[in-house]
Formats: sequence, C-alpha cells, structure tokens
Amino acid sequence: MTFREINRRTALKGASVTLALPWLEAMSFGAPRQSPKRPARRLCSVMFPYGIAVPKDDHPERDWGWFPRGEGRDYKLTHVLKPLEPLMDDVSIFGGLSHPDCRAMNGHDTGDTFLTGSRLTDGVYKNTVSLDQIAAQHLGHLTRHPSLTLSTDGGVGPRTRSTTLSYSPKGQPIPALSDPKQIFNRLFGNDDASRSDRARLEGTGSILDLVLDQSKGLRRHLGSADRRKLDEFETSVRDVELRVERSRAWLDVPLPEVDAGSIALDANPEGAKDYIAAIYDLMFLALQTDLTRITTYQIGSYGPTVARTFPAAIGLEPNWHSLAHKAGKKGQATILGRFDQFLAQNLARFVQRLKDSPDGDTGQSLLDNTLILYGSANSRTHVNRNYPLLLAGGGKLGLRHNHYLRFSETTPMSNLFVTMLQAMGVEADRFGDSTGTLNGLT
Amino acid sequence: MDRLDPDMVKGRDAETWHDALNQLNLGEMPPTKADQPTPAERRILADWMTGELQRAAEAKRFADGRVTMRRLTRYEYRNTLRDLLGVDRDFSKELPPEPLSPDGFLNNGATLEMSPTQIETYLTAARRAMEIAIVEGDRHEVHRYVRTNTVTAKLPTKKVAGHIPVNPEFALDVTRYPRSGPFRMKLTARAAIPAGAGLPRIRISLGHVPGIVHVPHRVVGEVELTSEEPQTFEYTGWMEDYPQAGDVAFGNTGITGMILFLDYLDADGKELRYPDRKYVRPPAKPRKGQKAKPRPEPPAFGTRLEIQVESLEFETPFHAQWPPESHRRLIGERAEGESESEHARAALKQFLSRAFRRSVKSRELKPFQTVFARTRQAGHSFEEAMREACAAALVSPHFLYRVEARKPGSNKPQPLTDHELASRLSYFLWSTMPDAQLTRLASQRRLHDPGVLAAEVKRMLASPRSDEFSRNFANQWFDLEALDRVAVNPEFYPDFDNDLKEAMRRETIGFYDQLLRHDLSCLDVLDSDWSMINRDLARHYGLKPLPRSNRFARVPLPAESRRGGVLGQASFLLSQSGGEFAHPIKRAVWILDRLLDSPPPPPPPDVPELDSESPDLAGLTVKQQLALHREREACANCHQGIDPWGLPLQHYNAIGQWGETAPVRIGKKKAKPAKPTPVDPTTTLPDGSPIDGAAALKRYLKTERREQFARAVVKRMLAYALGRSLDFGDRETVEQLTNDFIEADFRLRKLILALVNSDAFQSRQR
Repeated sequence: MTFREINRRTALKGASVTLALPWLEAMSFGAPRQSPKRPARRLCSVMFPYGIAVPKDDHPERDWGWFPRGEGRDYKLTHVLKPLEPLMDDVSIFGGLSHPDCRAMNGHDTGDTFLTGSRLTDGVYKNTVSLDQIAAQHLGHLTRHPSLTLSTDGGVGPRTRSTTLSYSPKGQPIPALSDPKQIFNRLFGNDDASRSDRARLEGTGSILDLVLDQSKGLRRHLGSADRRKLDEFETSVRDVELRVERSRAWLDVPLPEVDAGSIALDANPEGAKDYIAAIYDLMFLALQTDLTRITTYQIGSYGPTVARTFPAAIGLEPNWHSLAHKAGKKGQATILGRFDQFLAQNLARFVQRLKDSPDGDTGQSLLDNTLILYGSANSRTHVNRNYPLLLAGGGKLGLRHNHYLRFSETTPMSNLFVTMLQAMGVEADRFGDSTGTLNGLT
Repeated sequence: MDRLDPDMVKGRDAETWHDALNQLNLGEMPPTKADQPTPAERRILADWMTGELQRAAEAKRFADGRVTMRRLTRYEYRNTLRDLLGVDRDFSKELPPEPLSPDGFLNNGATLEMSPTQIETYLTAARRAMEIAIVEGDRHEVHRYVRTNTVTAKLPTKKVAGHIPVNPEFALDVTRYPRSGPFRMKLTARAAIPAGAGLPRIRISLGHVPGIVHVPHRVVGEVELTSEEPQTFEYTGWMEDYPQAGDVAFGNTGITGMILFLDYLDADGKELRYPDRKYVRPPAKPRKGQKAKPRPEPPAFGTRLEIQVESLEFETPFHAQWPPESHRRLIGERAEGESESEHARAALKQFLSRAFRRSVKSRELKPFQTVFARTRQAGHSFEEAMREACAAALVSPHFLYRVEARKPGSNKPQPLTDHELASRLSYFLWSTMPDAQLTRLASQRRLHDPGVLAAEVKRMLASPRSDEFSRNFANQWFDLEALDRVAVNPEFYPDFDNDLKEAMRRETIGFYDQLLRHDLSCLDVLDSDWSMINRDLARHYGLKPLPRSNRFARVPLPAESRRGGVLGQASFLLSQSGGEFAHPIKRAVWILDRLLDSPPPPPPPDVPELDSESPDLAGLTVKQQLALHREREACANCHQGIDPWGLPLQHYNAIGQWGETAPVRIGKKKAKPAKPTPVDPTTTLPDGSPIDGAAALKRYLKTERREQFARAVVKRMLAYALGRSLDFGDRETVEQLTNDFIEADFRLRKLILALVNSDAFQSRQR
C-alpha cells in the first residue's frame, strides 16, 4: 500500500501531449538538401515472412541454414548469406533476438509486429507505432515524403496478416504501395494524387486564414484570462498553417530528374525476380534523390497472397508457406535455403549500390549513412523467437560491423531499435519493451 | 513565524506560510531545542494555515480574472456535432483525451487546452462530417441481407495461440458492403424461459474472418429477451467502426465479406448451446463397422431455456430517406428564381447561426461565402463547396469554444445575452447545443423571464437529453473515471470480471439519475433504502434473490443495508482502493473531498512512504499499519484527521464485497493473501465521535454533517455549471444556494432552479 497515493493528485490522466517537431530548420523551402557537413541519415526496413531453415550444427544440410556458424568475429557464413560476404565490413548479423511480447502469439501473426513489438491477441487488435514512423516523426519533415511504405501485396491487408510494416503513432496501419509504376509516379511524377493534394492544401490554407481572422475579431471582446486561451488557439492554428505551408512548398520544389529506363516499371509480382529488383531500385532512387529518408518494404505478407508464389522465380514449388513448413524435413532445408539465398542476392545488390554511390559531396557513401534492417518475424516457421536479422550500413553513424552477435532471450529486439534510432540521431532511450541499447554494435 | 503577515489573502507571505506548513507537518519546526507544541496544538495550527492558504489561492484566481471562454469538451463536441448536423456518429474519437482539472472536472475552461494536433484533428473530423452530412448524386447501391435460419459453418472453433475462437449460434454473411457508411440491423427473436430463471440475452457482433484462427469483431449490442412472443430489436452503426476484411479472399475460408453473428447467453452470461439442434454441425462420420447414431430430436420449444431467432436482417448503407435528413437540413431546396450564390448564402447563414449558437451578422458571413465561391471556382460542385464552407465553421473559435463576449470598458458583471444564457443552460443540462425551442425563446428575448426559464428547466430535465447531465455530472462528482485507474489483481480476486466496472459505473450514474428524475432527497447519497441494481451486480454483492434481468432497476433495500448510499457502491469502494487491499486513506480522502468539501492538503514533499512490503508491517492489519504510520511525526498531523473516515469501511474489500475478514499481506513481494484476519471497523472521528462500522458512519454523516454535505453538492454543481473552478467571488453565491438547498430538503431540482437563477449563472464576470 502506498500511503502517499492520494487520489486527487493522481488525476492528471492522459493529459494531451503535443509533439514538438524540430521542423524549423527545414524552413528554407527551396533548398531541401542538407549542408554537406551533416549528411542525411536514412533508414530502410525489409521483412520477409515465414522464417528460415535452422538445421542444427551437425545436420548434413547445416550450410543451407540462414544463421552463420560460429559467433562474434569468428563466424562463417553459410550458402544462404554468402552473397553478402564482400559487404560484411558493413553488415552485422544477429541471433537470438525477438519481441518478447510476441512470443506467445500465433506463428503467422507476427508480420504485423515486426517493427512494433506489440502483443496482439484475445480478439482485441491493438498495434502501436512502428520503428520507421518514430524515425519519420523526427526526420520526415526534412523531405518531400516523410516516409515511403512499400509491400508486394499493397494496402494494409487483413489484421494479423497485414500487408504493411508501418504503423502510425496511434497504431493504425499505413497503406503500402506495391505497383512500381505507381510508386515511381508518386515519387517523380505529377500525377492526379499530387494535384488533389494541392487543392486540398490550398483549401486548408484558406480555412485556417479565415479561422485566424475570426480569432482576432474575437479578441477585443474578451478579458485577459480569455485572451490567453485565445493565444493558445492562435498559436496552434499558426503551427498547423506552417505545416501546411511546408507541404505546399514541397509541391513547388522541382522534382529531381531521374532516368527510369533502368527500372523495370512494368514488373509485377508474378515475375518475382524483376519485381523485387524493381522495388529495391525504387527505394534506392528515393533515398539517393532525398525524396524520403525512411522506407519500409514487406517482401511478402503472412497471408495467402501473391508473394507466396515467389519461390517459383528460381524454379521451386510456388508456395513459400509450404516450403517453410516443410523445412525441417529431410532435404528441405536445402530448398528453403536456396530461396533465402535468392532473397539475400537481391539485398546484396541493393546494399552494394548504396555503397557505390557517393552521398552528395560528403566524401562518404550513401551506405555509410543508411541503416538497412533485414529479416523475418519467425526463425523456423511458427516460432516467434530467434528471428533471423541483420543490419547493414551506418558505418559513419557509429556502428561497428562484421560480426555475428548472439543474444539470450532476455534481450528484446527493441534494444536493437533503440540503438538504430540513436544512430539516426533520434533522442530515444526506449522503444516499447526495450531494456537498453544493444551490446556490441556501437 | 511572528514576523509573517497573518493575512495570507492580502499580505505577501503566502508562499512562506506554505513552506512553514510543510515544515510543521514534517515535524522539523519548531526546532527540537525549542518548546514543542502538543499534537493537538500542532493540528490546530496546521488546519488554520491550510484553510487560509486555500482562501489565498481562491483570491488569487479571482484577481487574475476568470476563464469564461470554454472549449467544448470531447463529449460536448460529439453531442454538438450530432445535433448540429443530424448525423448520429461520434466524430470525437480521434481527439486526444482530456485531463481532469485539479478539482476533478473535465469541463473546466482553464484546463481545456488546444494544440496543433487538436486543430488538425478538428479539421479532419469537420471534413469527414460534412462528407457524410451533405451528399451528392443518387442513392448508393443498397445491400440488404436477411436470414431466417442459422449457419455456423466456416468459422474457427479452436483456440489457438491466445486467439479466442467464435462459435456463434447464428450467423449472417455480409458479402458485399461499402467500406464506410451507416448500417442498420434488425433482429427478431423469442425465448422460452422456465419460471424463475433469469432472462437470456443475445449478443450481436460484426466482424470478418481473416484466416484460420481468429475473427476480429466488435460487439454491436446485447439484447435481453423477456417473452415467448417474438420481439424485434434495431441497431444502427457505421461500417468503418468494425473490423473489415481485405480485398483478397483469405485462406481456406474463401470469405472476403463480413459476418454478423449472434451468441446466445443465459442470464449469467454463460453461453447457451444447443448441440441437439440438427443444423449446428453435420453428424460425425461413424467409425468403420459402426452404424451412424441417430440424432435425437431436439425437445419442443418451451420445454427448456431456449432462444429462437426468427430473422436477422442487415442493410447497408442505410438511409431512411434520400437525400438524408442532414442534407435537407443543411442545404435545403433552392427556391425558385434564387441564384446559386443566394442559395448558398441563405444556407450558410442558417448553418452559421446554429453552429455559433447565436445570430450571425452579414459581415460575419462574408468569409464563409468566399470559401464557398473560391472552391466553386476551382471547379468543384456546389455540394463540395458547401461542405468546405461549413467545415470552415467547424474549426472556428466561435464553434469550438463557448464564447461569452464582453462589452468593452466596464469591469462589472454584465448580464448574459439570451443566446448565451441558452448555451449555458443547454451545456449544463444536456451537454450539447441549444435546441430549436431554446433558440427561439432566446431570439424572442424571453429566456431571462423567470417563468419561462423555470418552464424550460423543467422541460429540459424531462427530455432524454438530460441523461447526459446525469452521466457527466455523476462521473465528475464521484470520480468514476478512477475505476479505470485501478487494476484489480487477479491473484487476489480470480473471479473478478473487468466488465463489472462498467456495471459499477452505471449503478452510480443510475442512482444519481433517480435522485434527479424523482426529485428524491440528495441525502440518499449518504445512505438510502434503495439502489439501482442489475443481476451481475447483485451477484457481486451477494444480494438475494437475484433479479431476473440484467437491466438496471431500482430495488428496495432493508434498513441499514450494506448497499445503501454511494458509500455502499462498488464504484466508490473499488475505485478508491488499491486493487489488492482496501485503501482506507484513499476512501477517506474521497469522502472528505467529494462529500464534505474539505479535502485534506496534499502530503508535504519529502514525506517518507510507508513501505507496505517492509518486514515491520508483515502480518499487520491495515488498521494496525495505519496506527504505525500515524506514530511518525511527519504523517501524524494530517493522518489523524484522515484515517478515521476510511477505517469504518474496512468490511468492504478492494472490489467492494463485504467480508468479516480481510487479507493481510504476509512476507515479501508477490505474497498472496494467505492470512485472512478479522476486521476491526471501529474508530473515533476527529471530532471525538466514536464510530463502529459503515452503518454508523453513514448515520453520522446523514445526521451530523448534512450542512457540510449540502455545501459540497452546491460547490460541485456550481463549478460544473459554470465550467470553472470556484473562487473568492463565489462565496456568497455558494452560501445562498446552500441555504436554499437545505430548505428545499436537499432536492436537486430546486437546487438547479436556484442555480440557474443566480447572478453567477446569469452574468459574465471579469
């Protein structure tokens, strides 16, 4: 019993909290590029479903398991992550991490919580903000698009089988784009969407003007205490006005010109090879042109959607779900492993491109200032522990690489998120159920 | 201390007095070498200082000027939009939650804040509301589904990984539907109820089947069946409030639509199952060599407790008429010979005067006409332009705030205009904007006429809208939100169901509502020979016999019943407890604050907490722990005046049930209540009155403290009605109303009438 806990004093429940965005630094509308001294920091999160093969060390198919052999600096990649070998100076691999609150959930429900870590059960579906959106809250104002949410299946999908990795601060799913052409137009074209954005923003601007005028007219009829209340109102309206102004200003900033010729914009998920490559290309372009600094890509949802057929791309049974379920059987780890290797090849190509591209005139590469989180929300399928995870990039953001770090189950995956946010320059000391930062990475 | 100015109101030493009070309470002053006051002297001094400091605080608030411009609360915003537009939808859901004011109110103008996020949310809500209220084009395609027999196929039945399966007795597939918009469902059902059995219920839910293991859904409502004759129930709602399927067919169910389904429950909430009904599941295949078992005929209807649904109907989007009422109300028909801009002007004028709750001058109309014209010129339709102009009004300070404009110059109180008075009345008794009649009377300037005013108050209290007054005032007076701040520890109370909290809340709101509806003596709050009970609560309280219905009804209680008055109600007993043990201090502070208007001062800083897990306290009853607590100098001064008020209620445990023994924490952390110990509810109040138990406390309050109670009621209601903390300038009003209230035998209706006739209510002050 706490004897000081007097009810009247504990009454401030849920006081409304306003997020103070440090957007003022972005008010130089015409020149959204950063000064060369402080390069932009970027974050890209990629998830694939159903998990991987986890054969034991003495298993004949051990080298088709996802996790490396060994530990720490003394590790050896298997066939699966071999494509990343030349990049390992910029890559850390993690073992043993997962979201403690998600361990008891159904094995196919964890796609929704890969970047949130929330527990979703018992008929009440309530998710929380995702890692990328925390970063977007802090950095989103610096670019035309606060963040870019992509997935093979598009939209938000059904709950527990969602087709997006991103969740708003209120825990609402953010719809993902999936069609390469549409993504390209959203980024580089003046399509209808941005025209109606413009109309709406202009409407909002004139409504806010009107409201401010009304507030001024009201002022002289009020006593001093009421005027202070009105100040609060006007400050809030002006703040929103500036936000609108900022969005509108971006509409007038000329778009970077890019050559779409090299991207397979006609790709669709039925041709997995071209499609996955096209999405990585678009993410690369978006980051390179600084149209956004935050992206997520869900390679496949946990639902029976088109991404399930992706293994067909390398001549395997067109059912990813089934491959994952069978992976424990004889000869099957090899099969799932080959597909996971294919996914790793795609990732490696993306990472390599970032590494080969200079970050403006900073003398650094894009990869040096970009974090790429890659992994799945199961280890072996249906097992919500020991996620296969790796982090690439961020060499100039204080991260040390080229090791396989293994953790016990007492370390929540959110600790990795905290370390990542801090590397992004976000002053965060916790995320969800985190207990600190991740040891060994900085 | 001798050098301090004893006048804390006019003097300049209030801050220093405040420090001195803390020092005194901590036992640090006077210094140990000096002569020490006796505990009694110490308390007299502390009480005097506390009282004077309170007076000083009120005086300062008064001198600073009052906040009279009040933003609408979330619930007022919701109700106001509903009545303004004629759209029954809650547009307040996205707004951030609101803090309680220091004196416990949600509607205090000084506490109600504004933020950029809030403005953005208002704007989004305004546009969404106008999209619904004003329509374009022809009626949308209507999807209508009816079922007269049941299906239960396709739904998961096993519990997997924490997902609770649904296994309804009746289900309806809604294959095509709009993603948003209104729906209506109609249910016709009957029930065979054996004599004496409780009344069964049907729970209606709407959701979808995303996959193999769980069915996201939300409950639409619960209906209670009372007869063998078919009864029809109707619910309306909004598609977007319910979980919906994606566009892709999912898993092996192949369902892309939504599902409306019914669970049958008995009076105690247990599921009613009829496995003998033939349609429920196909018969199991017989094993090899065995014959299929014949299924027994279900018994005839009427021979057992049984629910039968005659039909279930679902229609979406549901519009009673097209265009909907809101559209007609806002836009109307264009008169012959009227130009489009004239039409818009007339419609806007009408809308603005309702939105701003007063008459609107032509000059004020201009900017809204400009928004209309600009949108129209940008190539949008007439309807779209009207939406945009109306949405602008919904983020105007004239809508979002209740503005009472002063004539400049004078500092004296000024009478309210009739429209302002109409608003005050309406938000006081209805928590929403004035209706057509109030507005008409205000326009005719008749509302200040005492006869008219009295008739209006009577009419308003008779209207179902005054339910909002009962709900919001009882909620804030009795601090019912505190129920949500207490987590009941399931290790201590394994059978406690959190849904009971809602029943507890409704008991107390219903109790207050009865006082108001039947003009009973408000002293019943202190003790009563009746209460508002439903079956779930009666079971929780151990009352017998159990009522048949789970609807709340007024029931007589025996004299000195444990459940008489608010002090016998679980809403108070649980919310002012710790979730494990009864908490006499919280309960005492609540009584002092909410019923007697003499809240104890908050504890001084740096007071050490009594660590209930310390070995010194293991095995002690709460009363013994408190006694130990009071031995400490720092705590003694205040707690001698607090603890005795809570101790007589020790028979009520943390969830409000009566027991002759109470658990005692033994050992260290996470110890279960292994040792029940007899309760000792005797105490001596600060004024020396000996009290033996809850009944004695209630009797004492009802006889000895009625005047203090009357003042407490008056102050609470006045602060609620004015939407601000009371201060120095309100003392006379409070005394006058308190006298009136006592003279009126504590009848709330008389108090309300006196209150709305008071100068404080009828004038705006500095």
